[in-house]
Amino acid sequence: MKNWFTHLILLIGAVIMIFPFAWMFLSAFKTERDAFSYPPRWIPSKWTFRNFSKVLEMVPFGRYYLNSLIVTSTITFGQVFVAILAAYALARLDFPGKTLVMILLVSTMIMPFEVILIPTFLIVHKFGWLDTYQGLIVPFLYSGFSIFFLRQFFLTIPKDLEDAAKIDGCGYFRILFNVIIPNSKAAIGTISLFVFLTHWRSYLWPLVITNSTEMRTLPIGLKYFVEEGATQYHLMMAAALMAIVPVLVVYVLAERHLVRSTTLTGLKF
Amino acid sequence: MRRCLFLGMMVLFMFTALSLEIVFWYPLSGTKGEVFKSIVEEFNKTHPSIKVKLVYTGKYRDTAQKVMAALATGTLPNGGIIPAGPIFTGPYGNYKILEYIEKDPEFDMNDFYNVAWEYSKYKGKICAIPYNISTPILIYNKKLLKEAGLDPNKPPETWDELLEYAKKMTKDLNGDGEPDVWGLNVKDVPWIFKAMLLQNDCGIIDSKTLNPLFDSPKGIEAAKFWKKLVDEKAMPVGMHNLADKQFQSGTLGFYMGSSSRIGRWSGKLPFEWGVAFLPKKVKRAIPIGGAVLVIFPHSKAEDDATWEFIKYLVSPEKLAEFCMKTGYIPIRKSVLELPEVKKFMEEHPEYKVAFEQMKYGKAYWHFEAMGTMDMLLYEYIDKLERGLLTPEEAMKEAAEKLREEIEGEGK
Amino acid sequence: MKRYKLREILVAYICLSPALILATIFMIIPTIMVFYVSFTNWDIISPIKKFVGLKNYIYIFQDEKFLKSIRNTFYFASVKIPLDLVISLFVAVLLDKNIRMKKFYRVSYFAPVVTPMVAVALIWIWLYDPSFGPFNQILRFFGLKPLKWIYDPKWAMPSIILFSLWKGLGYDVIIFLAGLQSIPQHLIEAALIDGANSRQAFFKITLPLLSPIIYFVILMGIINSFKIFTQISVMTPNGGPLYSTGVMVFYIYQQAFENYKMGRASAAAVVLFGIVMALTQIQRKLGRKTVEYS
Repeated sequence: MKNWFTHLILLIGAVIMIFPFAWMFLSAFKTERDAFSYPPRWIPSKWTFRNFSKVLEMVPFGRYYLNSLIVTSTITFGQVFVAILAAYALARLDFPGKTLVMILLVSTMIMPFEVILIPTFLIVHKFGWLDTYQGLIVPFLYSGFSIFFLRQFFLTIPKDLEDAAKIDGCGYFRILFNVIIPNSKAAIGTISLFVFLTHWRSYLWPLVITNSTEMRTLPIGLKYFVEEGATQYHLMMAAALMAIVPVLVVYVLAERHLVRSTTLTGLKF
Repeated sequence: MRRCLFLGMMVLFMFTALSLEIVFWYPLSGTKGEVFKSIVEEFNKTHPSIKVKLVYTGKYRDTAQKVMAALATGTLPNGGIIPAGPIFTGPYGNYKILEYIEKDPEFDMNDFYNVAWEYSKYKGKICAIPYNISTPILIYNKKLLKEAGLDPNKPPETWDELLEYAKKMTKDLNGDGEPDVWGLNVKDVPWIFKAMLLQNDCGIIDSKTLNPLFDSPKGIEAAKFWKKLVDEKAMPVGMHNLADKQFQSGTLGFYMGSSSRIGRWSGKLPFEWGVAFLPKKVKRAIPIGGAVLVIFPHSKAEDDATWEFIKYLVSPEKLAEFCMKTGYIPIRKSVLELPEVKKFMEEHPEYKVAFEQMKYGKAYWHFEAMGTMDMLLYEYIDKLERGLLTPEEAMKEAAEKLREEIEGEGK
Repeated sequence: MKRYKLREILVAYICLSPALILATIFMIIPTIMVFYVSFTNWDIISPIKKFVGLKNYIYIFQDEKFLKSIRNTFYFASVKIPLDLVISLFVAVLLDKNIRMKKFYRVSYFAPVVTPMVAVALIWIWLYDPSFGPFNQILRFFGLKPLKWIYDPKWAMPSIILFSLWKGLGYDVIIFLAGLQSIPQHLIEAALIDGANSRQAFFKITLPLLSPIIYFVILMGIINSFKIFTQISVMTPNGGPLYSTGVMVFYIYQQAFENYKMGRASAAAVVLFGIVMALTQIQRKLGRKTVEYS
């Protein structure tokens, strides 16, 4: 049919999508002269690795990565753990006030974080958690969405598995750990991936909470790099490359899982 | 022999045990940070009874936020190099440093430029001492001057010359309707505009009454001149953030911005460049900028120690060392008379210009809405450049908004 | 009267307690506080907060910047969402056909989505540079007038929209792809046999079947458009020339963390909440089909 035409359009589109990355990659190796040549040069006249060492000198990139890793991993484990417990109670247990809790849950899902940014900041400030790991992590250990998602999934687990365990004399907690969780691995994996990716790129909250260079996460470290290195485009590209390449590599390898989790949850991370 | 050693160790131990530790915050990074740290190390060595513990607090904004947080939780250090320091001392009744300035017979207030004291006042009382100060300066690309048929060793001295020379250097090389080389660009718009106000003998704000002065006829004249610069294509509209890049790439003739650029660009640019005073109108005048030294009161012993440290930092020799190695401008007149400084200025004529311009410095007392004033000037000059407001309208509206804001603070 | 088992109730509340405590401290209390603080003149330094009634609301509705921020946000949403919808649907339809190199296309369209926003924003700052950026170079090459992009009050927001489109398209492409693939082939084939051409089949069958997904994409688009902040903060740090890219969240951030006026910022946040709620309600009324989350 019109296959070549389809390919042409898609190819043009793909080139547009990739162009910025190509520019970043080439420019990360440019010297300052090349970066500021007028008219702009696309391909470096002289390839240099010095931009990378310069960036590392200027900002503690490793520390930023470490912070992002610590914060994001802790939030992921913590949030999913809290969510599993709560989702189990809501999906499988019966207790007074259940409807009230469900309403509460759904209503917290509606509120955009940006609206309660300021009071959350004031509360964390009160606790003395400004510029600390706790300040970065604790407010995100609760997520109405994660709880809701897991609850919906738990509801689909066949009751007979539980009944069998109950007959065997298992208590509620034993059921949770031996029946529910093992049968929810895919869902737990999906929500964990989603939480991790959402918080890895978190910008507004760390911006507001961190003050010192040591506590900055990767997005914030990069943003300050713009301020300090605003005139050094080639260095900015080296920094961007160091931030992007690991993500791209992981992405290309895990692409199938990512796409599946996106369509399953229908969510933007 | 062993007894001497033992005695010696006892004495050393006593000294370190007896040495008072004071915590001092500072916002200097890179080479400047290293220079500061080495000066502090020397102080610690030569003053065994005091131990200064330095804490790096990030850039200016981070430091200011930290001070605010510490004020709220009562966890202030003993002292620090703090941006807008008088705002964190004066309003809280902290004039501790003034007590020492007045009581200490070794301290010569008159050796400091008058502008230094004005810069450190809140509501008329001194509550800080300036330290790492920069001034706005004119940096020019000699090659572009030559290409425009101008003398590369004669930078403009007056506003009119600035406009005339800059116009000559603006060129559209590839015929696309947009100039590729510009005559003039300005990095810190509010700062340079304030310089122009001062050069036209117009104050910026009345320190005592906090009445903005830039909507007076002389202020409007300055705004008119600014508009002329963009109208006659001496300066591009709304591209001030790109000024550094433009100058570095050799596509800008005159750069007006902080003296700190001298250090940043030394030996790095592929063309010959020079440094000059900012051009004058009625007279030469410049605002200053930078952070100040403050004391946060603790016990008398600690405050005494902090004062000793601060005195050391601003002593002529140490201040000279600091300024020569970092490119900041000395705020004491006697520094320029020191032989090592004279030699330095001979070897680095660009710094000579920057150091000598300090005598034209003028400052207003710190006040709470200063940040807002800068924001308003930035916003309204932007509108002026784009032709959305006339110079009178821009100045009057900006001044009115500032008056409203200041009144609101008073409540 | 329902009969509960005591042990079950106990276990339930033990399981719920971490979530409930966290939700109370970090969701419920802040929600109440935002309304409360908006009626005070709280700033971080002074220990005294006074109740000032509607003063903050009056201030922001008279503040040119706040009103501009609402207009900017609507401008962004009303241009980005339709463009995003049309382009991503188009790409998804093309990708749905049996063509080779599918994985390559999927990866390239989705790559911008995966990469961290701040890092790619850095790249685009250079791309948009009026003198040293390739975009203007390309324009000049085709004989067009170069633009000032993020430095021009007229083009700054379109530049942000273009960037956001590039960044977010791939995501919607994937969603539409999934939707297209779940449409039963036999329905289309039946229509083609009946004499319809492929374009009619698309508009009469495929599109209606896709409507829940389209509805979902629009809904998420609205909610996300009103939350944008990162790219503004990185690419146009002062809200852009003449505040042309200052969006609502940016205004809130500036009032709170640059001016320290928590009261005013909270008032703006309340207004933001109101607008988002109103819009989602309107959209729900307009989209009568029910939405399925897989």
